[in-house]
Amino acid sequence: MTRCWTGLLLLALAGCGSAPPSLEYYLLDNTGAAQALPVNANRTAVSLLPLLLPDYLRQDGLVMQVAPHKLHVSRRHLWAQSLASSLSMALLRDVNGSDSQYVLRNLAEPGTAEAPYQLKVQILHLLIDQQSNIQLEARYWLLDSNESKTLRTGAVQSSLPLEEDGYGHAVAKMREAVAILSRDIQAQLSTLETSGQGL
Amino acid sequence: MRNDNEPLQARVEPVSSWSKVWLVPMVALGIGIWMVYLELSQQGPMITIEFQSAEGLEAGKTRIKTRDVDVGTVKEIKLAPGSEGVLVTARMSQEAESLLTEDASFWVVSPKVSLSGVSGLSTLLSGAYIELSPGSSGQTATQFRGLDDPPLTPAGAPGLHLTLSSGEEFAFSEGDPIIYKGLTVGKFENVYFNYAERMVYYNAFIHAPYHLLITRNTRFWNASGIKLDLGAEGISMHTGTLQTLLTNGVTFGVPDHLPAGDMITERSFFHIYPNAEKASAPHREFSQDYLVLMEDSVKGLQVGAPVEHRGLVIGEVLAVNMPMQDMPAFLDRSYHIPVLLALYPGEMGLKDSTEGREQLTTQMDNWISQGLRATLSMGNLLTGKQFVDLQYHPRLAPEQLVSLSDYRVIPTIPGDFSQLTQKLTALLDKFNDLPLEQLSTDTGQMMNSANNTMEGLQTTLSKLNSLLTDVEDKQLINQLTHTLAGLEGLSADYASDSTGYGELRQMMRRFEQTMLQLQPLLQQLNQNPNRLIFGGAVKEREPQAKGNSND
Repeated sequence: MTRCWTGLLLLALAGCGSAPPSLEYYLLDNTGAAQALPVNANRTAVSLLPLLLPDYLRQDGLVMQVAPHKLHVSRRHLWAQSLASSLSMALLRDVNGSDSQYVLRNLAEPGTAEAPYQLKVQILHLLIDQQSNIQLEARYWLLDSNESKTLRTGAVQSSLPLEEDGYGHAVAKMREAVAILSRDIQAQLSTLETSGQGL
Repeated sequence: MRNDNEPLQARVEPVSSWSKVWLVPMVALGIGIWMVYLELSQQGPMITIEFQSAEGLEAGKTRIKTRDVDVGTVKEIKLAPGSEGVLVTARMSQEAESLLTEDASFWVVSPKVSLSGVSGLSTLLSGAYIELSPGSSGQTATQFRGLDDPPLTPAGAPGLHLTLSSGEEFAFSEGDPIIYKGLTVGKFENVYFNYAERMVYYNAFIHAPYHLLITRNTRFWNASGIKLDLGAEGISMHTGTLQTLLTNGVTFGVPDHLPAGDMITERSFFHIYPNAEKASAPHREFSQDYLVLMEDSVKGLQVGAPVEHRGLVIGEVLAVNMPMQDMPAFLDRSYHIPVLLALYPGEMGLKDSTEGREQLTTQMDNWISQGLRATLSMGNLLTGKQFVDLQYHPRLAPEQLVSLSDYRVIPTIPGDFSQLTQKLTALLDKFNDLPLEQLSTDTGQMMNSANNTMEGLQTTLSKLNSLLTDVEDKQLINQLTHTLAGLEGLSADYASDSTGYGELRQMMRRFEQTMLQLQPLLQQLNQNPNRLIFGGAVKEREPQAKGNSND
């Protein structure tokens, strides 16, 4: 009788054994692609204001649309950094990478508060849609810091198809979409430069 | 048988003297004569009435009435000779012939509105008419003089005619009421002013049966307007009827101290007193005159002012500053103002007779020798009216009896007001005698010393106050310095580049990482709580490349 009870206990303990869930963390900005910023002391500073994100991006799971008006937030594939910080870093890297008259600076950097221009970016959507595309929809405003006047406005809506399965590829495509947004911002900054509104 | 040769003989018949046709006009004539006779037999006499004016009268239309019955019609209106009036000729009915006595009255009835009332409203539509008031005389007449106004009392009305007189300034007019206990029992009929006596007489009529109230001892007094009495029990107000508030009026009664007296049956004379008090005051026939020589001012002392003894009225003032012989000149310093008094023996418990007056004279001589003195007292502080007060002053030295111009003189002493003035003067004299200048100087010096002392005390208090303030400020500053130093150390410990801040931030970061690691577990537990025990492969959707998607 004692042996029977011992066997049942061992079976129960064996049933409790389970493999821990495997978590995957992703980084939007690829640190391997970092390159040195060109040094130009005469560049006009543009302060990047905190990004405005939709509520469903204010969490760590990657988001995928599984049906119209229905999203799936992954519990295993997570952002290694908050999406707001990742997007800011990606924008800084992309915009400052070109040899432009302007330099985009994070608002937390010293001396950025005195920048004559401000860049305000609102991300409306950044997700994997039901048709296996990366959808990025964003708007941005270039502001005059002194007069609180809007100098330029812009809107970007890009759709990049996924060429491979998996969240890793999807994150890479998201980074490409952010690069498209950065180039559009660069283009608007260049119009400021050409129209002579820069310093 | 008749012979044909014989000539025919006409039969001659006498011709009729009148035709029967004439009966018709004869009958008509008879009827006419009968109608004329009937008309003339029913007509009354033609009368003539003289009025001041013919206002409202119209020939052929205006009726003559008595007791609202037509007794005649105005036939003709023409001016009287000399244009002093109009003559109204009227035909009266036969029944009214007996009413046309020589004392009959005629007047024109038309609408009238006065304070005494409204009358003749019915003539607004029917027009004016002439009212006939039959007389009591047996002598008939056809010439009459119309009245300007209707008589207040119809001729022959039961009641009593009176004649009232008044020497006061108030005057009554025709129609003013005579009231008894709030009931109008009579009216003033007319007013007559006697130039010789300078008196106003009023003929009045008291209706039956109230004329039985009029007796020999009845007194009439004015009841016009509102009477306010300020007494020890407060203010009381007396009024007559509403009519007496608007017009005037008198009332009457018998004083309590008098019997009712014999009833009046014929026209009698009565005096109208100003008020009930004076009307009910006993009438004294006998009095004894005395003279007082006043040193005080007699301002406020009037003729008729009472002479009192211990608050009881025993006489009245007959004259003030009466002209007398054997008196010094008016501006002489020794001139005393002569005031003539009348003392009534009836008011002093003596008989109201010659005997009582003699007793009063004897008693007064004794009283004067025992210290009776006259003085002026203030009767009313508001009006300043004064009266003569007789009081005993046994402590005063006896004076001899003195007569002046056949009047016994009552010695006087200064009045209350004069005594008060004298005492006040003496008090002021004492004040004047006080060394006020020296006192003022000493007071000034004392005030200066006190002022200096107060200034020194104020300076000392100011210094003490500033000292206390300094001490408090120093203690407060020390405490604030310590507190700020503590705050500064605390903030330095947690500054952005301090060790404490770094440790705190590192701890927060670790906590955030831990929460991130716990998040999938918490989500898994939330969805499948048993998976913690039983485990199981987690199958999750993953993105697929374009073209491999099943969707």
